[in-house]
Amino acid sequence: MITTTDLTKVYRTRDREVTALDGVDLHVEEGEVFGVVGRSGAGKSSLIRCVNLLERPTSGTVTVDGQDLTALAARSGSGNRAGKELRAARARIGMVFQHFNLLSSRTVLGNVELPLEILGHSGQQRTRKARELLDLVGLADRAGSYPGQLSGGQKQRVGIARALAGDPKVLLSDEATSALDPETTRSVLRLLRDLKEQLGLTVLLITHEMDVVKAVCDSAALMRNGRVTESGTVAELLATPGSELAGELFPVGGEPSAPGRTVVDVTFHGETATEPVISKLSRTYNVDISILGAAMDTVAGKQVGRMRIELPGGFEENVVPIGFLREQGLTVDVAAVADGAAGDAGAPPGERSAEAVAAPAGQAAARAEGGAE
Amino acid sequence: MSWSQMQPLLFQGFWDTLYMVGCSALVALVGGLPLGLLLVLTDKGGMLRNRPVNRVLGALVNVGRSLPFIILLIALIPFTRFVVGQSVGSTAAVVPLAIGAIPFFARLVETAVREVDRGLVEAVQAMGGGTPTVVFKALLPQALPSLVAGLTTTVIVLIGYSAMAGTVGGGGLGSVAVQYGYQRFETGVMVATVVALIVVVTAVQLVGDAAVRLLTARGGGHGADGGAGRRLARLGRGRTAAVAAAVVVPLALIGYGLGRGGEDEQTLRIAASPTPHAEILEYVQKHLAEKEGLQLDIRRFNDYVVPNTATESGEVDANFFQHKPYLDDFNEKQHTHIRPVVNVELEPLGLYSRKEKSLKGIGSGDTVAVPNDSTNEGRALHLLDEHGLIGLKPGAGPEATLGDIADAKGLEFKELEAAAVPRALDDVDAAVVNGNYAVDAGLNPASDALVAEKAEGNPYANFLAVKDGNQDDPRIRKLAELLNSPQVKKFIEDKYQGAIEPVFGPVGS
Repeated sequence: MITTTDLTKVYRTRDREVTALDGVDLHVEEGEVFGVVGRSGAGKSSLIRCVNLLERPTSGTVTVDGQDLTALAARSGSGNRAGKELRAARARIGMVFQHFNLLSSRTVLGNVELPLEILGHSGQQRTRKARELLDLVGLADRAGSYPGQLSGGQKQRVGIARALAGDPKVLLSDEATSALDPETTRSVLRLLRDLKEQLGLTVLLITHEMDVVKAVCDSAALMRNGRVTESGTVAELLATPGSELAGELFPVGGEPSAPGRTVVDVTFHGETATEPVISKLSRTYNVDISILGAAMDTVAGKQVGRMRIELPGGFEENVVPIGFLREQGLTVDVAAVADGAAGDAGAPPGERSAEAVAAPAGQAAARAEGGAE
Repeated sequence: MSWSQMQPLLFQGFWDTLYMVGCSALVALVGGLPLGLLLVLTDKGGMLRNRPVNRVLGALVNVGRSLPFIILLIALIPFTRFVVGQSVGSTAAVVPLAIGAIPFFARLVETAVREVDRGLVEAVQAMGGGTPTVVFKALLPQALPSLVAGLTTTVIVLIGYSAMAGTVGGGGLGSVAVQYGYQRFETGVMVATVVALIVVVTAVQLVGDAAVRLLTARGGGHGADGGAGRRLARLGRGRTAAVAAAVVVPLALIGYGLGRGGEDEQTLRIAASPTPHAEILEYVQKHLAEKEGLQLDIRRFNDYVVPNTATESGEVDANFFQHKPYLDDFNEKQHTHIRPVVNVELEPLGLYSRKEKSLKGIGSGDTVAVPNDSTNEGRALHLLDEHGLIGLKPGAGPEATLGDIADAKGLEFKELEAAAVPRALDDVDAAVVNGNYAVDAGLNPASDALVAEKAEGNPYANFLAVKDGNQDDPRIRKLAELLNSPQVKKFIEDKYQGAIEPVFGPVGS
């Protein structure tokens, strides 16, 4: 649905050049929620703005729904002015912003009507459509309010309703939840997820919050210094040994309780049914297993995430139990804990469990696609 | 002056001010809004980014902002005539007022539009909106409170500028204050006009502030733009203070100029008008005074009040700029004791016309421009009376005004700043012009004037004057002698070619 090919963006100031995008190849499948994560300055913002050509890429192409937008932009002439065709294409791509970007001088209804005005809809049509959209985001009763009278979450709902006005196939979300508190973030993400299912949207979102990816994304990419360093479905990423993104999405930690024990990281890709693997292991081999840390999710009856467990005795004594785990279709890494340090820096295990619990249940948080060898 | 006399003046002034400010504010709005928008849009990062255009517009605005309004007023006369078909009157004053206000308002628009969050522009662009959509759907509506505050400020600045409209006969409260209050010492009129101006300015500010509050309120006070509006409104009040300062500062500078100096006890300090008085004194200083052991310190004034008050207070020893009717009136009204010493020169008034070759051609239905300052207007009317063009009321004094005309014989009058009268010659049928200004305007008083004042027995000869009791100061006696010397006679005749005539001897009473 969205494809970028060798996309580069270089900002030139008088005395230096800054490369924001350095050959980005991105492929977003139709109907998926694709999250791009990375630190600030990694190029996320430039990337999403290049997708609807708010920023002109220095080189490379952007194709959205089979339409080569970079070619449209090139045809519309010089400078930053957007030609008619490019503007029409933009109208079919919704965009949601971190700071909402609502007009304080218009009512909520007026804000949602704005894109419809640009599309040239008649007054009655506009109002009807805008009211439908507000209903969709649960703000039908605030149509007459001004943005200044709304909470952050409500403002973003208005932003989403506005982004949907042009019946887009693609929705771009630029840190849409970064200005919101965790509770509001969850409800806005839930809304995005629902809308995506309901309207068959393809969503490209950029964020610096791993929770956002965990909550709504089917696929994700990690950006660093203008490059995409990892990319794939969540299952693929989890199956990739040493994946930084998987590690950050499902961070596990915890130190062995005593020396001379074996610490093992187990990754659940979402292939395994919720069989009680750990207790089975315990019973079958009569070993005492302690869970040092876990970041797990159970989605549609399948387990996704990672867990760090501790087995008594050295590695040699545990070859058989580890083999058992691999037979269950899990990825098993024997953690290097010689120095006693956990593989991932971060919060203590207790908090991670809470994180895992907090993720919305009953929704497809990750698709069980791709091999798990 | 009684209230019944004052009232029509004030009302006329009020309506003139309203007319001039209203029209010019409208033009400033129509012209300044697109200019301000273009300044933002063509700037770096703007949607219509265009460096050369931005530079040129910025430079134009800066030039417009830096020209003193009075210069603009005079410089624009040909343009004004082209646009509104005349160069005198309220309508003519609207043109320079508007031209002066456009760049001022444009800068305020620029500031207001710049304060609109860039994210909004991005959002509209992402919706598929082009530049016009961004401007009309996002930038202008969002900047509206700030724009209203800016317009309020502009209107108040225009009220200040309009005080100078008297130069081209535009009228208005400000010029009533100058013409009657300042030049004719009608303190009552001055106070009344100033009070009226304060009321007008306050009313405009209150209405503007209320509008800004109304527009801002709907944002629930959260919007950043509301804050901008209030900031600008505060700026508006600051601007009012600035206008007041613009009046006070020059007066303070005049005072400062007087306060310093006085280096030598023997040096004679003389206050004079720049031309021709100071020029004549310079001639004396350079060619005659040194031989006689006389040292002169010439102080130039563009003003007709301060030289007398400074002489009275002893800050200067003498002055040379006025004639008998003016001095008599001044002494009476200001309770000063300035006495004439010796006559030096006369600037004869003359009646000029570009349309008619002789006096006979001037008559009913014609328009005549006259100077608007107290003495020159009186002189002009007496000149017209003397030649039968009008009839003055019996007993009309040297400071006769249009109100003293008993029979206008169908003539219409335009009152203008003396220096502006010759410039208006193309727009009127005839004009009474001072000799020096006539020469400046390329007229020859000897051959071009239809009629002119006679030198003999003319009460308007300019003289050297001192505070009573100083007439016999040996330095003053010496200077009087030199000013009446044959060398000075020759100098005046050679230099001024009839625009100014030497008139020597004691001053008649």
